[in-house]
Amino acid sequence: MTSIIDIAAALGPLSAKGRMFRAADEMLAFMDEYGIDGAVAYATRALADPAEGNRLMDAWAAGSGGRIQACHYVDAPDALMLEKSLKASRPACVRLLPKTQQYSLNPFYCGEVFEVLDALRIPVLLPEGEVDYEALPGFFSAFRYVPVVLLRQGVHHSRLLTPLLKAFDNLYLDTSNMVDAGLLDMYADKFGAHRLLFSSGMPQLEPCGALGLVLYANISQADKALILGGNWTELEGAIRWT
Amino acid sequence: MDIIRACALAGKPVPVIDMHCHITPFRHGAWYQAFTDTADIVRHMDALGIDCAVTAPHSFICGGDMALANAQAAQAVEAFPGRLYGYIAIVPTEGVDAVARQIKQYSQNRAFVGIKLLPGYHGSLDQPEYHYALDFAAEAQCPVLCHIWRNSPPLDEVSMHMKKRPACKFIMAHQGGGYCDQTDKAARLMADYPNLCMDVCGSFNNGYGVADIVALADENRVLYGSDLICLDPRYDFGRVALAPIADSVKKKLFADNYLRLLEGSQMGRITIPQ
Repeated sequence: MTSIIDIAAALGPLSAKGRMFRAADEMLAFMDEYGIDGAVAYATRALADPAEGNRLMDAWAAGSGGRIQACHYVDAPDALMLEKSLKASRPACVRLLPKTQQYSLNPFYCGEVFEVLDALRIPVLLPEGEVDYEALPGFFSAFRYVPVVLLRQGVHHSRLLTPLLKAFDNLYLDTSNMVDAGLLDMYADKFGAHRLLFSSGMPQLEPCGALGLVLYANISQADKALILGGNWTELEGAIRWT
Repeated sequence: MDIIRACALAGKPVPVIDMHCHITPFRHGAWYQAFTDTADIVRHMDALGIDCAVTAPHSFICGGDMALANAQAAQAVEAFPGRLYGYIAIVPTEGVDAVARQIKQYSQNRAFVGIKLLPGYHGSLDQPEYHYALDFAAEAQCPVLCHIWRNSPPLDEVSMHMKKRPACKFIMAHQGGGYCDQTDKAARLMADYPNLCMDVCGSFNNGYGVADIVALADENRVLYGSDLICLDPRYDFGRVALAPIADSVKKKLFADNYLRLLEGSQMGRITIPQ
């Protein structure tokens, strides 16, 4: 039985109207409804107060019976503090918001922070709207090990994504918004299914569409299993805490 | 678990009519399709268990060419009888006479089942050419599929049209505009006009699930369409197949509601292969 893991969920109140999970049990009940086994989530509280939000997320993850993993929100602090904090709490990944927080992925500005992430090999999630395609080639040229997952790219982005996938092995894509016709299959065929990871869009979107894209993809069952959960397990297992 | 949902989770095909489909490439505005050949499109339909699709070729969107689009549709429906059906594509910039000629020519083709309008891309819904096509559709009792994205065209224009032609079987594409607030407004409009419908296609930004949409609108007036090949059909297919709603409702969305719309139409009809 394929294990389905959503790599980009959110826990806590949202400012936008729509579905939200105020506690872990609400999210777990929703996941059960759609056959989603595990989720990697950040606490929305972390947007205003990263330290407190990340602590809250750790607590939710600890009480979820292993089904929810914590994603920490990182606001480009100084490198030493970041390394200490990550090693102490060991989240499954980190989420960066460079555009919202007005910093650049250009190594000149936050190079020391990215060096820490690169050395740890901790997965970095870059949400929709936060991706600066002009800065990405420089970032990936400087940091060849940190796995970076671009979230909700796919529609209208193929002309930018394809050269990046070709050039940089540590770039990964989430499939939730890969709605250009046949793009998911083409990327799996051309660059390997190991470059693709599943997320559902929850809480704001229901998971059915994102699940349909993968379940009905014209790729092998083994590749579907990688996208739905296997690739995440691999990436998360490769973090170098010591 | 419901049968259709179990089949969908297992990756098995589910019978369906895709009532919102496009053939031929469309690249303008950074759109991308990994396949564009009509035979490949039908193969993708086979993989999902789509019995048939109703298409308006992309060629009438930008640099709109009504005659070319309708000729391409005619060629495709002839090449894939029973698998592809056509909408008569209407481009208002070509004038009322040209629209009338296209309607006269293709309304006689039994593989054409309705009219497709692209206001927004082609301006307001309130244009003489659209009025001509809508009058024809109201009289012929055939469905009209009308593109709507983010209130373009404004839902007020849809309301104005329905007030004038309440018998018109009018389908608001993209859940009324692709986002929750648009779906809310479109659903309110549907409450006023019993012949007004919406399709689910292009729902990747809509926070409402299909269960929400059916609850807001009317399970008898929500239709499955995918926007194939402008969009990957598997997204909205999954939205319906995996939705936490009864199989009986999914069956309506996938085929029954559209077949009911075609009842009484003087244009072509769809026959689902047994």
